[in-house]
Amino acid sequence: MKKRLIVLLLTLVFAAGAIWAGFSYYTFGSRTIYTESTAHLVEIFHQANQALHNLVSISWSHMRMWAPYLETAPSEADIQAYVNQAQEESNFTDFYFISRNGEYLTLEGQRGYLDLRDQLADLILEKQPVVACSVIPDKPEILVFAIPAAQGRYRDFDYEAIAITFNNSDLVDALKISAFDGQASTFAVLPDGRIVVDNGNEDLKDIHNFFALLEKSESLTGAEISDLHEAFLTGDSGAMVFDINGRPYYLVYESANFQGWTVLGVVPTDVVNASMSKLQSTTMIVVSGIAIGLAVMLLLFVIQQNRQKLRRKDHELLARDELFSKLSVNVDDVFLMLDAQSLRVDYVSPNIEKLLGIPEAQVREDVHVLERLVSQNGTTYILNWLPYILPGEQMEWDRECIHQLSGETIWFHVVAFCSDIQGEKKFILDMSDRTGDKKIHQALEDAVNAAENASRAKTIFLNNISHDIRTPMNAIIGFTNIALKQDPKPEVRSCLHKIRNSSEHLLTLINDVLDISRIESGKIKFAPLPVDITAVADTVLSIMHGFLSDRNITFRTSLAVPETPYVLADSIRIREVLVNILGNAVKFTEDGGSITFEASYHPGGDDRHIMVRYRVTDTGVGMSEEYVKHIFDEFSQEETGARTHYKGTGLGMAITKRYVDLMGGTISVESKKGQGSTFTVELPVEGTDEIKIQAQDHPAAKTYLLGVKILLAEDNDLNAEIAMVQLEELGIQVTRAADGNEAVKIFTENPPDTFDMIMMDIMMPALNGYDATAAIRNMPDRPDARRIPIIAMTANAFAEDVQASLDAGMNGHLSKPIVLEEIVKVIVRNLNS
Amino acid sequence: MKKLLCLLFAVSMSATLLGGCAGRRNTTEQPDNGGKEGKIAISMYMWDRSMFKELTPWLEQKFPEIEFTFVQSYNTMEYYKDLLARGEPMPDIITCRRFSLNDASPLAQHLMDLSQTEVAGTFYSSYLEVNRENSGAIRWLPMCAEVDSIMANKDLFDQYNIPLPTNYAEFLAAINAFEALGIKGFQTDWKYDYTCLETMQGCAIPELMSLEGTKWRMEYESETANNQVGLDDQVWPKVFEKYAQFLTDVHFQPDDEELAFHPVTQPYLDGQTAMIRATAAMAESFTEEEGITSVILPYFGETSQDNWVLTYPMCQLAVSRRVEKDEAKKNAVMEVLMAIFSEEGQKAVAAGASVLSYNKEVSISPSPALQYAQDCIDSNHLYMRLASTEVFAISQDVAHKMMRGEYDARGAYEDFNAQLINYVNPESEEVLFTQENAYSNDFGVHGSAAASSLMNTLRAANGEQIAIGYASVVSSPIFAGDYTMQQIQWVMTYKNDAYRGEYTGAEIRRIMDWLVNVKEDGSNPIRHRNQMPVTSGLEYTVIETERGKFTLGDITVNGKPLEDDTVYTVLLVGADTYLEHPTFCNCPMPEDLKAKREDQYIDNYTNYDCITDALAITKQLLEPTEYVTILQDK
Repeated sequence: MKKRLIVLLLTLVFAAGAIWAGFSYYTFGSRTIYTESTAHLVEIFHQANQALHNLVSISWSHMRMWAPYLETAPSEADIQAYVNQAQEESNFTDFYFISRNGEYLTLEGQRGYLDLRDQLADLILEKQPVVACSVIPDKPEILVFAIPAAQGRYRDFDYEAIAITFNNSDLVDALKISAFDGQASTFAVLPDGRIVVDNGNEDLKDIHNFFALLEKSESLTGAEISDLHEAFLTGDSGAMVFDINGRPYYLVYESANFQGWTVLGVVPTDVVNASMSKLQSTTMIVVSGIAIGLAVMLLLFVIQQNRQKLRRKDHELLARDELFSKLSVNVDDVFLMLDAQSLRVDYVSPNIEKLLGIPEAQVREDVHVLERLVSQNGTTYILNWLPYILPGEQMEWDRECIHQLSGETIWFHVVAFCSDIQGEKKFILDMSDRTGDKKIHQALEDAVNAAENASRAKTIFLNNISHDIRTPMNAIIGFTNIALKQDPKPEVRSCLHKIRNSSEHLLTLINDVLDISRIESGKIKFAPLPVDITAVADTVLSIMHGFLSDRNITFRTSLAVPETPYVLADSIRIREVLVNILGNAVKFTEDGGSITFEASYHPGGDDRHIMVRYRVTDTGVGMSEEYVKHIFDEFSQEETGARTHYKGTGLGMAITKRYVDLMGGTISVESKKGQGSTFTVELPVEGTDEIKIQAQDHPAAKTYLLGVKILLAEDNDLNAEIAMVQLEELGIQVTRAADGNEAVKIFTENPPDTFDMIMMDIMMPALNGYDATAAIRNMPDRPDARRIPIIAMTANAFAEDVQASLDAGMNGHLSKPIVLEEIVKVIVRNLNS
Repeated sequence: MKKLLCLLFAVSMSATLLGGCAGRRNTTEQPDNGGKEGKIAISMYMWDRSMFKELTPWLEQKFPEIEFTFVQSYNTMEYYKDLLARGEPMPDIITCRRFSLNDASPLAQHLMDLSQTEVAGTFYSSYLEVNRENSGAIRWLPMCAEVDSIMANKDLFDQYNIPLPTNYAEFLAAINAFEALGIKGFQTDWKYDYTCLETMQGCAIPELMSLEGTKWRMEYESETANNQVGLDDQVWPKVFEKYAQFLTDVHFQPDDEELAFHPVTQPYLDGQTAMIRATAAMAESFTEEEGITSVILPYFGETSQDNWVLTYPMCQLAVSRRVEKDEAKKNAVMEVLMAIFSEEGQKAVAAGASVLSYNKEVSISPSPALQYAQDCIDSNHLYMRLASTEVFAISQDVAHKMMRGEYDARGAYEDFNAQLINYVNPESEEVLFTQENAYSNDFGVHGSAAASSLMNTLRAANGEQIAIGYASVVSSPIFAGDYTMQQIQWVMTYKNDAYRGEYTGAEIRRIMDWLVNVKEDGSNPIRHRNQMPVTSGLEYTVIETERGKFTLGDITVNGKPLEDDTVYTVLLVGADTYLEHPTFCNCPMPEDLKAKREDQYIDNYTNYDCITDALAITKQLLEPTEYVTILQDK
């Protein structure tokens, strides 16, 4: 491309140089021709002017000679003879005797008046010779040469001057030019351009004023004509070119030196320049011939070079063609090239029959046959999309086809390109056989689907298990607590306590099993929120005080103060980790022992992070080195009889480890059998702003619930009864609905603000809790429907269940079995918010 | 663009007319260069109505692509000076017979230098040099020469066997011979300034053409405002001596100085006068039309070799310098000039009369009327009269005083000389009235506002119900401002007659038919749109059937239908000769209508009197009305 540009530029430079040289030569030649021609013309017309001048001089000389003779001539006959002889020599037209008053007398005695105007006085009074234009009726305009003479008398005519006259036409002979084949014109003009002697040729006949003629010239400006007028007035000489009817003429002008006349020579330039123009044109032709010869040689050289290049290129093309042919036969891609205008098939790779089962010739005949391969009805034809592809762009499709010979389903990935090939638009289609890939992909997809189905089944199973176990557990624990409040007999109380403890253990076991299961299935996510990290420790310590209330264990704390307590952390998970570790410490430390809890804060990996370190040290039973290695394994418990002594599921530390991992932290343990254990937890947390923490605080204000009205939606009678008993014990007025529909109906039928809160079970017949909530929230004419707190109270206890409740428009979530303290907290929080 | 120009032109025309009817303005406007239908418009002012005889129709026929506006103006440079003084632009082509470089010098800056034109090149140099200014410019081109000398009734000479004179003595002998027979030997219309000027110069041409005479004349024609040239004291005393002798020799009688044209020509035609002063054209006319063989004799000298004929250019022609600004118009005007000064053009100007050409390549054969002046022509004894405005006026004044015996030759010379040095135009100063409204003389679809104003004024002043002008009767726009007597006289075209009569409506329709419709033999009373009749108290419609040919339509009287049987008093103003003469329009007024026309309003009543008297009553040229509506035939 660059080379071509250089060649083009060089060609242009050469051409421009050639044109410039030609133009310069032409200009130089024209200027030289003009100079030479005008010099030549000036010389010729100067001679003509000289002839006129000579005529005038001779006339004056003759008349001066005649005057003395006329004065002394013996007779009129002698005078006549003398003048007639002079007329033959000088060729004048007439001879006149002139009187004082301008009257004339010819030799033949004809009289008349010769109008010399003011020159008569010069002639008669001033005794000066004069030349004047005059006219006598019915005669051509005449030029009068008159000289004063001594007073004389001829035929009784008193004269004081004599004159000869020339018809203007007689003067033409003096100005005649024999050169230029009669195409030269000569004129004598007055300063205002009026022609007094007209020797114009055919082209310049019947003109009376030379300036009027020049005004028709397109090549002369008004200023140039004015300059010429000035030159005539001042008697200057010169030459110029003008044109008449598009034909250029040379004009040479020279003062005649009498009467203000100027002699003009006018010749067509082509006549004057004929020989020089021929020389110039011949030279131009020769030079042009040489230049053309050189150009032809250059052209032949360039053609030769191009041929060699083309040969090399052909070779390359053949090689590429061979390569492409081999490729196109052996690859699983069909290539087509289509003309964009007509969709005519310019090329189709020969493997099309193998891959698609259609003969190549059939495709060449009509490319639309490809669209018949598509196995699914309604699939958009690719050919219809092609016009929308712009040059340089491409479109892609996946197509399921039927092999036309085998009838097998085959899959193709089709890529269509649009290319501009030397101004012609082409579509190139690459139909890549992806049947193998498609089959592998299909198998993988099936496997994934199976795995996902299994996972979904497991989740559903766990959810169902959780829900179905919690529901009866709720009844067991609930009614046990109710029974305990009935002041039973000691034996019964003991039994009830055992039932409750067993139930709670069972519940813990269930919760742990579900938690570990959910962690493994990735259901539990790490959700850091802005918190005061010191408050987390405080909460844990308050829980620990409950654990230690009936134990004789020394509990020490060491709580450092962090530089910035506000961090992003999952406080629930941290709390669970610490409660788990501290709970084990309490559980495995005998009375009289001690437990130490330390919280410290250290710089993190960057300015934004800090490392929170918790350390729990006890003087409990400790663990063997072998067990410490498996302490975080599921269901691991040291076979020391502790299992029976210290009740547990064997999942607590496994869950703790999973939580710490989830938060990106580490947990380590040091223990010696019989001496105690030390658990160290390190968690990286990111600092945050205080204001974000404050926004989350909703301190409870109302703690007295007497008279609060709650609509309870619960289909299970037992659970409903437990809930009503517990709520009514708090002084709350409870209205029960047996399902979602009834809940909506009761809310609708009661006046606005009848209820302070709705507690909504989720899994109910007829209308579930989510839909019932939506129905209430969307009541158009009940302003309280949007603001009344709705709390989910359900055996669905997982975090996603909590989120689902909130998404359905509820304000809180209580999981069964119901813990009274939790109920109170939730009610208070929502009534105050 | 041309359509837009035409539209603007039409709008401005309409606005001018409507404005002219009701408005007031200080100046009037000439039409611009854009003619109708994109034609080049050329305005040409004619010194005399005779130019309309053959020249204007010939020009319109020869140049159909040019829109000519021909206006009859006045034969004096003062007229054009007045136009310029009123703020009017110089018309494109102007003509004037009374000419001298002195008179024309104030116009020089408004006129084009023609010295470098092709048309000037067609002149014999010696004739053109007369008009060359000191600056070298030539602004005036002389039209062919008219011969104005002594006309003799050859039939009368033959009848009484009295030889035609060849010298002054024979001239006197012939006079005496005729008077012995009771026939006046020589008489002329001494009333007119041109007669006084020509006879005064004609009787002493050898003196005036002597070395001293020509030298003085060149000095006089080159005079400037600061260098007034008086009469030469060698030549001119002889001129007055010869003139005094001439008056005596032709038996001038007391009160002859009041003789006008008709009182002189009629006795000549009746064979009661043998010789009068006249032009060659008139000699031919009398010969052909009156059957009186008339020939031109020269002004006689002592011998036949001293005889001269008096000549003058039929008119001088100049071109406005404004024309130079428009190349296309300039070219068109030059073509028109070339045509006018061609042989064919000069014949059209001469309208068949004998003239002498100043141009090369133009050959006009002299008529038989000039056969007795041929020697003078051949010997170049052609005297061109000295014709400046002041010489005309002073010649009349001094000659009349000589005729009345107030001056002898010496006294005449001295008075003439004194007046020439201190010439004051007697009619140029006194303001007679102040015109309030200006009216254009542009001719539109509703006629000319200026012509209508004039005709309304004449009708009002004369108390007639209807006034009909045969053609456009104004020679210039009507200006707002002061009017002197001279300016008043210039308002109305020269040489009009005024009549009154009582005509029925049907007869008025016939009058209008006479003035408008093309006659069966093709004679057309309207040779140019400006010659459309001008009416007052009467409105009419015409349809232009083809260029320059019209058909009369509806006629109303003050907006009401013309009643055929109702008798109306009518004022008729116009030139009978022009309309009726075969060589002009050839449209004679029907005899019965002519018979009902009362005698000329007052004997020798001129258009000067007519307009002067009218203005004495109205004190204003009245508002114009839309007297005509010109429709185009579809």
